Amino acid sequence: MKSLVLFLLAIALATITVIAGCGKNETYVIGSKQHTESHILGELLAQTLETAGYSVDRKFNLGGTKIVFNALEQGDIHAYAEYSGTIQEVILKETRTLTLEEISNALAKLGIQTLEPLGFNNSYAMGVHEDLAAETGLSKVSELRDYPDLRFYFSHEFLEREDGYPSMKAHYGLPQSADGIEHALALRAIVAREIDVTDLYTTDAEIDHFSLVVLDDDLEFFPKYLALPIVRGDLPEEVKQLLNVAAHTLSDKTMAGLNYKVHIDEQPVGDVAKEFLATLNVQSTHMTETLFDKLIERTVEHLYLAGIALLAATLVALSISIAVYSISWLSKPIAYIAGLLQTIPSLALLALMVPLFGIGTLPAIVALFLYSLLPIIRTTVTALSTVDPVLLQVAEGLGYTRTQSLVHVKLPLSMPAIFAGIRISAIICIGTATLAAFIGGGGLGDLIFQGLQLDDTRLILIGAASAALMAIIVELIFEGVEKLIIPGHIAAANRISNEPVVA
Amino acid sequence: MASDPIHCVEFENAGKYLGEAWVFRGVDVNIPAAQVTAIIGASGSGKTTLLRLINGLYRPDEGDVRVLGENIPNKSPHLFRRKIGYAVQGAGLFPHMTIESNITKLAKLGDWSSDRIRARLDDLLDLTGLDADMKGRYPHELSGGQQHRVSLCRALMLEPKLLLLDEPFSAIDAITRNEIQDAFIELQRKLAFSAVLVTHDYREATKLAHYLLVLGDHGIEQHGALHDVIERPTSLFLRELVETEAVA
Repeated sequence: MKSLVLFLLAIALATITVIAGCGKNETYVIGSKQHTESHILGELLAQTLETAGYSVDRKFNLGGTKIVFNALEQGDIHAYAEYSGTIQEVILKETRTLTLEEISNALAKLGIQTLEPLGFNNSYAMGVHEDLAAETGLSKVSELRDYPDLRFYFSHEFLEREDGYPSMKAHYGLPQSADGIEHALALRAIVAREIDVTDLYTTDAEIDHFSLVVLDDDLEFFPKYLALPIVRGDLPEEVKQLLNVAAHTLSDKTMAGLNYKVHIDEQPVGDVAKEFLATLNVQSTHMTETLFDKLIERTVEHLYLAGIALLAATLVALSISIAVYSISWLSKPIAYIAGLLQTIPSLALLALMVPLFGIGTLPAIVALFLYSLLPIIRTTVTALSTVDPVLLQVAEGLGYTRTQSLVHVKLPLSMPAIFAGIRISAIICIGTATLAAFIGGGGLGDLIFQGLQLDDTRLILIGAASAALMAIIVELIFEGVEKLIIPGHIAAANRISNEPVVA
Repeated sequence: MASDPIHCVEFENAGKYLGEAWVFRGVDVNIPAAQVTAIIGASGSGKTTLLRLINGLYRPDEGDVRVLGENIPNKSPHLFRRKIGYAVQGAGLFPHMTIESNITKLAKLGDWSSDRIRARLDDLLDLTGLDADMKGRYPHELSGGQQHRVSLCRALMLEPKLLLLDEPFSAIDAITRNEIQDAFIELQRKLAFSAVLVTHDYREATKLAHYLLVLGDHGIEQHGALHDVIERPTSLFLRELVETEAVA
């Protein structure tokens, strides 16, 4: 009995260890934040290395500054493009303006090296729709004071950071409060006149496209945001040299142009980066993946994430349930703890994994694993502890040992409920795995995040529909397997009692 | 500890404390071997408790119980229980197992050869009047009477010397019950096992048993060969039963 539990735990641990091992390899990992410009700059860096013969792992769409910088610090990624203002405010938490040299020295203490600036300054700016500007005559940020009813919606990062809205509000003495919104959605909402003011970047492709007006920063609030690659200091010199390829070559206008190509013309990021590299006489060997290739690759990743997490969760949850179901003072708190894990919002749980496990597949799988425990534990403990006591008494009276009674009576009779629990967990896993992209875990969520970033509804739909389809197919497979291994009348007898759980 | 061929169960001042009271104390009786003994008594007098002392599902809180000449071992009581057949009210068949598995599972787990298992199974099905083609069916596909016959087969599978029956035929209709009781009498005559039967049905007791054990509020009120006991009922409970039955 004990040895069975230990054996199952050992398998689960081994599974997790193997996955952990997969995170380390000799290729260079390039990261990016969750916006188009960072993505393009990431592609530039990645393709440069690929063209020079290195293999590259792309961890793009990695959420906000803290996640990406953390990943760089921990060595989960080797390089990404950052902005001087962001480094000063978010990473170094300095209120006074630092020179590039000061920034460089401060980062060097963290084992991180700054490369040459790329040339452009992507500062924050306040944007309004040109119709609103025409109606009100707004042209400067300070004039916003006269329109207290305007609806302010800012990206979450701008709302929270030191040099973000709270400071700006104080600097300009603005009366308005503001809410958070995803940047790509903000631009649509501003065109639909559902919101009035949002934060932009000076290199935003949409400024022209969406007929926006950038308000003049008349009281000079916004600091400089010079883009530059930052890399791990321990990278070989040769690699650092390569990553300096685009130094001082990107003006505000060039960058806005590249953004425009991706965002408005919907050209693949890889192609846009390749085209630009050609102007620097770098003939990139990059081949843009077709949507189909991407879909297959993401689907496989998705299945991998959800499958490993579900497998580990099933083994661990079954072991725990079998160990504790008969001990009510123990089984209740365990079900309670598993339930508590379930109440943590999935995005938050994923983010919580980053400081513990870095970014990538491992933290995503751990989060999905934790998320999948409850349904299996709850149904298994309930099923095992509610088997007809007469049958257990008969089994004992006839001379079944405790283990034989468990294996030959309790578990088979609990199978339908256990299966229902695993099924629910499988669906939760597949659904939640779409968020793994947020911490570089890949999966179909990558398509959704990319679609959101590029304002490409088609990509969002493909990602979401594929995940839904996968959930349906998995559900059907479970149904088939259940029919194969559980006698019909046992399943039927249980279906009645389990209906509410499944619904 | 010597084997006692005359008695299958020996109670020596046995008492059982359950909940917050003694169910009975001072039970001091020997149950004859190779016969059917019925335990009767008012509800709450501890009939089932007494039965469970025999296969070690309960342990006595005072006194001693010896079964088939030995004390119930503390270690591996399941091996001891396999020498004792057990059947309960409502048959208690495992719904997820076929009839064959219900009957033969323990024999398989106990390393019986498949030939021996097959031979024993066929014998038992034959003895209890069940068709061999029922082997592959599930309990819910059988009638109540057939389920009870299967339950008897399961209890007898490991060739026990002693069979314990806890109100085994009380949940079926009168006609079916009658048939099964007849089948049981036949079985016992052929296989000559010892049996201890708990029942609340006086007629069943008098029909099946050779020996009667009457349980009262605090222990055994009367016991003896069936005829001796019902001819001279000293127990108040039994006297009422005998009189009611005589009027009917």
